[in-house]
Amino acid sequence: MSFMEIKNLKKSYENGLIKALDGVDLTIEKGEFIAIIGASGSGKSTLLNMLGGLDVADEGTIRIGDYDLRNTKKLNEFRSKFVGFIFQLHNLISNISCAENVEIPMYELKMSNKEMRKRSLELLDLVNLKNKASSDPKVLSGGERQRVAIARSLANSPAIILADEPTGSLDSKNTENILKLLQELQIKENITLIIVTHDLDVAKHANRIIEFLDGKIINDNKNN
Amino acid sequence: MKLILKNPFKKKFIAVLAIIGIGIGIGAMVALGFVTDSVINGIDNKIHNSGIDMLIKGEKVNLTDPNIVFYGPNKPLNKSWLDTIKNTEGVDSVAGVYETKFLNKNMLVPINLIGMENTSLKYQGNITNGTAFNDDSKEGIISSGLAKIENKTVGDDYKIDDDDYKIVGIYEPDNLMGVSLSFITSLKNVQDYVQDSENLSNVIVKLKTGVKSEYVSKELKNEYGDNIDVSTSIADNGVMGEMISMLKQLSLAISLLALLIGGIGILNTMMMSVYERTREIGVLKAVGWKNKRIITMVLGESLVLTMVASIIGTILGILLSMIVLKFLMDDVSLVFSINTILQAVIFAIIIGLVGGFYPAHKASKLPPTEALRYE
Ligand SMILES: Nc1ncnc2c1ncn2[C@@H]1O[C@H](COP(=O)(O)OP(=O)(O)O)[C@@H](O)[C@H]1O
Ligand SMILES: [Mg+2]
Repeated sequence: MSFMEIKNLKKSYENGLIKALDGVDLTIEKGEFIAIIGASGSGKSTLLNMLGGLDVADEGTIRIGDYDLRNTKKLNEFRSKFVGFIFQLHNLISNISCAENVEIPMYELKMSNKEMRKRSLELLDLVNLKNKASSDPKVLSGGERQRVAIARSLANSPAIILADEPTGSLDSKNTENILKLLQELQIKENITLIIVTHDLDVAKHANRIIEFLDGKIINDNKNN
Repeated sequence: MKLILKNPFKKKFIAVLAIIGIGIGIGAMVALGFVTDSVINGIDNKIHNSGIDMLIKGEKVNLTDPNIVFYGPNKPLNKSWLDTIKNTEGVDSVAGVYETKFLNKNMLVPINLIGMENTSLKYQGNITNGTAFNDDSKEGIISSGLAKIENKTVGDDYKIDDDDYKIVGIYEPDNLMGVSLSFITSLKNVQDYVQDSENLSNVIVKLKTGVKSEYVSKELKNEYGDNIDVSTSIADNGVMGEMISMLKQLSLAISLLALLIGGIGILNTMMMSVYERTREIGVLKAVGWKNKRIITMVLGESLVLTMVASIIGTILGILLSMIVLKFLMDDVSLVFSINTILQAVIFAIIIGLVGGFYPAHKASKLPPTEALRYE
């Protein structure tokens, strides 16, 4: 049994006028690094939402580990325990420190304040930003913010990291750094990393590239 | 939960506006409460200083009873009560009083005719001119206010219906029965005037030193509560009592208005705050925050706002009541009643919860996919 099994997944919007996902079949193994590419509006983000339990599909099956994501009442728990998200915009909360931002996913994990702070500092160290732990994210550069966002995505030691255009608002040098960092972490922790991107240079880092068009997979290539 | 403390102040202008609005409402509430309590306390002190610890009247008349026209709000009290009350534990002395009203062709309003023994006169005020009356003569003392209007002075005669009284003194009324337009003569004279020697309208009670009036009044109420009306404070009694209960109602009305306006203000502030943080709340949900935690966060924020408002409002109210007392009632000192402050805090909490509930609910229902949207 594969780690993730997706069969004939469908999702439409606007009363069925927009078929964002139009019958997607996909199996993914633990520890894979996948890039999802395709034109804007082809359904990449919609798939990522389904994989992360942020939204529920209309038809088909989607199973990740023991969770049947179309028929569970525990989407919260699934996200909280298994998924780390990185968004195109860093989506950090201003007015609180970077460390506090990294701690946000830990609230539902029954950790003490002390444990939370210890872990958030470890994670900020991992992304080389320990010295910015008490800074407001507002004063950080774009690349630094995205690194804090990565630290946040690791807060719950997720099995899966889902990143939607994580480098979309970064320059090429920062993009390269962020990707290297993600790849290192992915290998070290055996995380299943799925990145949505329209940048082929980014996609090249992945072991597997899946291409979308009009809500369907049109290419699925393993790099090595 | 740092967010609860920091989020409310992100949009400073709107938060400040809401805080000021609620603060003013709570301030008015607190000021009114403090002033009322201070006035009650001030007058009570005066009364107690003049030696009256309790005032006992006949049973309260039902407001629908047509006899209310004759008796006023209380029925007369049989004079046998004088002994009953005197023999109650803790009571030092009692004095019977008969109050009625008469009309005088010069005046539109009825004038108070008060009958009491001359030994009890100290409870009524100070005789500023002349002397006390003799209980066995047709003499009396006139309040300074009435003397002025009627243009009377010591030595003049004063006609009440067909009876002629000699004015032997002028007094300055200063307690709960000391209404400004009054004529006082002996108890016997007034009982003759009303042709009722069996009854009294009230009994003044002085307690033994160290005896608490609350304690004795409770005992009396337990024993005879259905037949008599015991008051230890101006707030329980007569015209002042009614004014005070009106003030209290006004205070309640202001509180309710503050609740309404404050609730709407908080609702508006929190709705905007939630709307502006759609993405942020989406992130919280995406990382697994349960609805309960999000509701707690938003409600907490709204409570922080209203608590700040209640602190500011209380300070405002204290200042306001100080000013009012200073300029209007110089001799009354401010009483900080915990009840009023407690009431303000409870109102703030209710405003926070009521105004914050809908935005909190809305926030918890925001779809987490909002966090990923990029437009
Ligand atoms: N919440 C939504 N409401 C309506 N239409 C949506 C919504 N989310 C996505 N869509 C539509 O679904 C299609 C796929 O969107 P998306 O998955 O975001 O594409 P991509 O990420 O590949 O650019 C698009 O046509 C988009 O407009
Ligand atoms: Mg997208």
